[in-house]
Parts: sequence; structure tokens; C-alpha cells
Amino acid sequence: MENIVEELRHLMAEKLDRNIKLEEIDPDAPLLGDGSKLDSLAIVELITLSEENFGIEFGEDDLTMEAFANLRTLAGVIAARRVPAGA
Amino acid sequence: MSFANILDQIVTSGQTRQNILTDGQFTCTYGEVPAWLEQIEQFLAQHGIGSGVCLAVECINSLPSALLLLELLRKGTSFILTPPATGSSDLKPTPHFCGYRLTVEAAPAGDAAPSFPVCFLRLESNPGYNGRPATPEKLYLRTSGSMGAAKIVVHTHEKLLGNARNCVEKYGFAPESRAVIPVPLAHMYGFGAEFLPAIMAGASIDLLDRMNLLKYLDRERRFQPTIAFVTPAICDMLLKGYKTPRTTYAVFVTSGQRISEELFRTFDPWVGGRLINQYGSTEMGATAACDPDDSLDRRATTIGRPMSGVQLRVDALPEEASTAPGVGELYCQHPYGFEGYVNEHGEWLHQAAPDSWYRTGDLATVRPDGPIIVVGRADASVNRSGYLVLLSDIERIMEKLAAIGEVAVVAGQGENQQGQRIAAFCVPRPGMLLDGAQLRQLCFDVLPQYAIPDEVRMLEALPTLPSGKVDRQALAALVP
Repeated sequence: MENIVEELRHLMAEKLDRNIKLEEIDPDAPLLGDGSKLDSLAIVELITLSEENFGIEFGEDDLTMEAFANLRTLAGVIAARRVPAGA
Repeated sequence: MSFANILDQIVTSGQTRQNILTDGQFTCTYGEVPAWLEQIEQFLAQHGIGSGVCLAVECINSLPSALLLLELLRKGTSFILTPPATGSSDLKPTPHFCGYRLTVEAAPAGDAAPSFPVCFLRLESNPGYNGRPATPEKLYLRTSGSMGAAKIVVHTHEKLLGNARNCVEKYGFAPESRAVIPVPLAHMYGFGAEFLPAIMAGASIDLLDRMNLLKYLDRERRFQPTIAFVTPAICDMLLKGYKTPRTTYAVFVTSGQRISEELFRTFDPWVGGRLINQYGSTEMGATAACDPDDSLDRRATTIGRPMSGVQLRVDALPEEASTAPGVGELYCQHPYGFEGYVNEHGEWLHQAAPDSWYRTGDLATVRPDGPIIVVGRADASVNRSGYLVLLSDIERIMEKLAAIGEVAVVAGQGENQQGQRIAAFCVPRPGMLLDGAQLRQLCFDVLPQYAIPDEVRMLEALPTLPSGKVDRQALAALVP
């Protein structure tokens, strides 16, 4: 799971184009709400980037404020989606 | 009937008084509203604010904001309604005709503050006040025009309610309705076309502040809305988040900016085929819209039927000026339109004569079977090699190219042999890697020679105004 968190940190710093430095990204810091660096467009981009990077598709139940609370919770959702059906 | 009477009925009727108003954090029933309004009334009275003063109100999509607006309308207090400034660049000074600035905060003032909802209200006197007594029952709004300087639009409360009644009729607001409001309460659209109609029908309301995809999905699950008013940008966003089509919307309205036919047709099935494009303006209010039962073709391409009492007319352009046959200027006669424009001092810049026809500034064409199609802004056209070229036509055609996600076409300051320079700014569809020059080449297959943009530039995103509309002035400034 730590690998997923790390990959997400790199995605945010490198692919999101919001001028966020890798060192500044705290996996437990809130992604949403006041003080977040992510505007509504960035959230949509993060969803698309995550799906492309991890080869998954978020389900209806995954796209919640709770799942995207911070990178660690997001990593948890991604990890769950990665498990192939029936495994 | 006055707004006070209407409100009295809603908060006491058995049919409506249990319906709720919520902002995700606070909730109250219509029956509980009078107690909250009294708190606000006392607060204003304590500060000597009666209806002889005009207020500058800055509000967000919150329950305290909604309650404040209801109280102001109930008392006939005049106010200018503005959204919070998003940055120092769009900080507008308080108009000189306002005695006070009343801001609704997102968080309460502090421990010593009084209780709900007053703890969210911040009142300051306006040092620039010119001392003139206010005319009662006026609503002032700055226009969100994408071209030129902002003017302050003046509406009477009475006509505001007339406009709202039209929307109740057109969209079927009823006590059983559940209206989610993700667009700003501080604009004519959110306030006049959705919030007030919902209130007048006693419908349940969910106010969404600082909309994002995840928040919308969460609140949609919880609130189960049957009515939503959005913008094309929100439709685009929801396409990324919707995994199964929504079947619970009676009507899903988009407005504020022209929605591309592609986006309309793509998004419509996701809201059960109930997508409606509303045509209107801050000056006129809600002007025309299709009915949800109209065919997709009609809803995707026309502005539908005018609201009750509204008349529309297309004045043909002179034959030699146009190669777009049947295209003319759209005029509107609206029973609930604006009084006129004023400046920051409250002085009239323009007064609309009663029964006058308002020049919408849009170009339109009338289909043989009746419905009107709005084709673009009248001031967004250029002369190229003797042809009148509508920039929106170029946009419409370029939008159909697979590589393009969004495009805005603007005229430049300079001229070349063909006429005014045209530049297209494109946001590529995800995964498309063409550059501007390559995209321009594609234009040769789909556009007549004289309409091909002189340059095509790729952008990550189109710059927008606080209203969400494309900032065409900013783009035009980039063109030589």
C-alpha cells in the first residue's frame, strides 16, 4: 500500500500541473476542503490520472469525499480496486 | 401577493412546512424558518438598518445566506447581491448607494458571537456611502458579461417574483420537488431561476457551496434531488463521475454559457433524458427553455419556448451582410425584465422603457417549424474576405473534430489580407497529442477558406471569469 501512496505523491507532483512540490505532499493531509491545493478541476484530473496510472476504474461507491479525504484513504480504495474479482 | 404573504403560506401549510432547507451542515424545516428570520430581523434592527437603506450583500451557498435573503425580500429591503471575491483582481468596491456591507461567512465569527444564524453575519458600514436614501424593493446585480465593463442591473422584487413564478410553471417546482443548488446563490441564475422558484413552491432545497465532483455525488446520494440547475462545466464534470445513469431527475437544467451540441447529446442520457438548456440573462431573467418531454434533437439545438408572457423576435440582418441566411439579431420583450442599469453611485446609465424590446446581443435563426436557435453573440462576428463570419460557427464546427475537447475562437486586434485576425484556442481531448499547427491543418477539411483561424493555439484549459464563462477578453489580448 505504501507503494501506492508513493506513486500518488509522484502523480500529484509531476502530472497534476498545479505547481505542487513532492516534498510538500503529506499523505495524511486533507486533499479537499479549505486550504487544499486542489480545485474542482484538479480533483477530476486526479481521478483520471489514478485510473490511468493504476489501470483501474473507480466505481460509484469509490467517488466520495471520504475516499478522497487524503492520499492514504485514496490508496486504500485503489488497492481494493486492484484486486481482481474472485481473488 | 407579496413575498411576505407567499412565505407565510409556505411556512404554515401542512403540505410544505415539514420540507427542508439544508446546506449539508445545517438544516431547518420551512416551519422553523420564521424563528430564524426573526433573529436576523432583530440583528438588523439593532444596527438601525430599516428598509430605507440599501445593503451590499455578499453571500455563499449556505443556510444562513438563504435565510438572510428571505428576510430581505420579506421586508422589501433593497440590496446588491454579490458572490465572495475569489481573488484581489475581482474585488469590486462597495457601491456608493449602499450604506452597509453585509457578508455571510462560511464559519461563525467567534466564541462571543451570538447564535445561529446571526453568528455567520458580518456587518460593516460603508465609508463610501453617498448618504442617499434607498428606493425600496430593488435587487441589484452586477452583470457577468464576458465583454466590456460590468454594469449594475436593477430589478424590482415584484418582477423577480414574476420571473420565479415563470420558472415554477416551466419546470414544475412543487412541494414534492427536491432542488439541489450547486450554482452560486449570488447570481440571477441560482437565485432567480432555482432558489426563489423552489421557495415559492415550498420544495426541499439543498445548497451546495464550492461545488466539486465528489461533493456533488455525496450530496446527490443523500438528498436524492429531482431538480438540479447546473452549468455546462458541471455537466462535463459529472460525465467523469457518473457510472450509472440517474433516473430520479424530473428536470436537469443547464445555463450560463452555451452548451455544445456534443456535450448536450452525450450528457442527456446520464440524467434520464431530462436535460434542458435554459436561455436567459441577468437583465431579462429566465427567458426560454425546452420542455423535458421535447425530443433530444429539439432540446439539443433550440432554446425552446419562451416563458409565459415573453416574446422573442429575430430581426434579419441585411442580405448583403450575411452569408448565413436567416440569421438575425434576437430581441426579447419580457414582462419581468430589468428596470435598467445604474452606476456605482446609483445613477441611471440606461432605463428600460416599459414594453420595450431588449436587444439580447445574440444572433439567432428561426427554424421552419418554429423554434429558435441561438447561434452566437452579435459582437462575436468578423468580416473575412467580404463574408460575415460568426466566431461561434467556427467553434461549433471545430468542436466536432475528434481531437478537440473545448475551443474558443476570438478575433484579434490586427488585420491581415482577409480581414480581422482570428485565433482559436483549443483544449485537446485527453489522449490527443496534436499541436496547434496540425489542428489548423484539420480545419482545412471542415471550414471554408475564409473562416480558417489564422492561428490555433493549444491550452491546458480555457481561462474563465468568476461566473464560469470563458474569458474571451483575456484570450483576445493574446492575439496580435
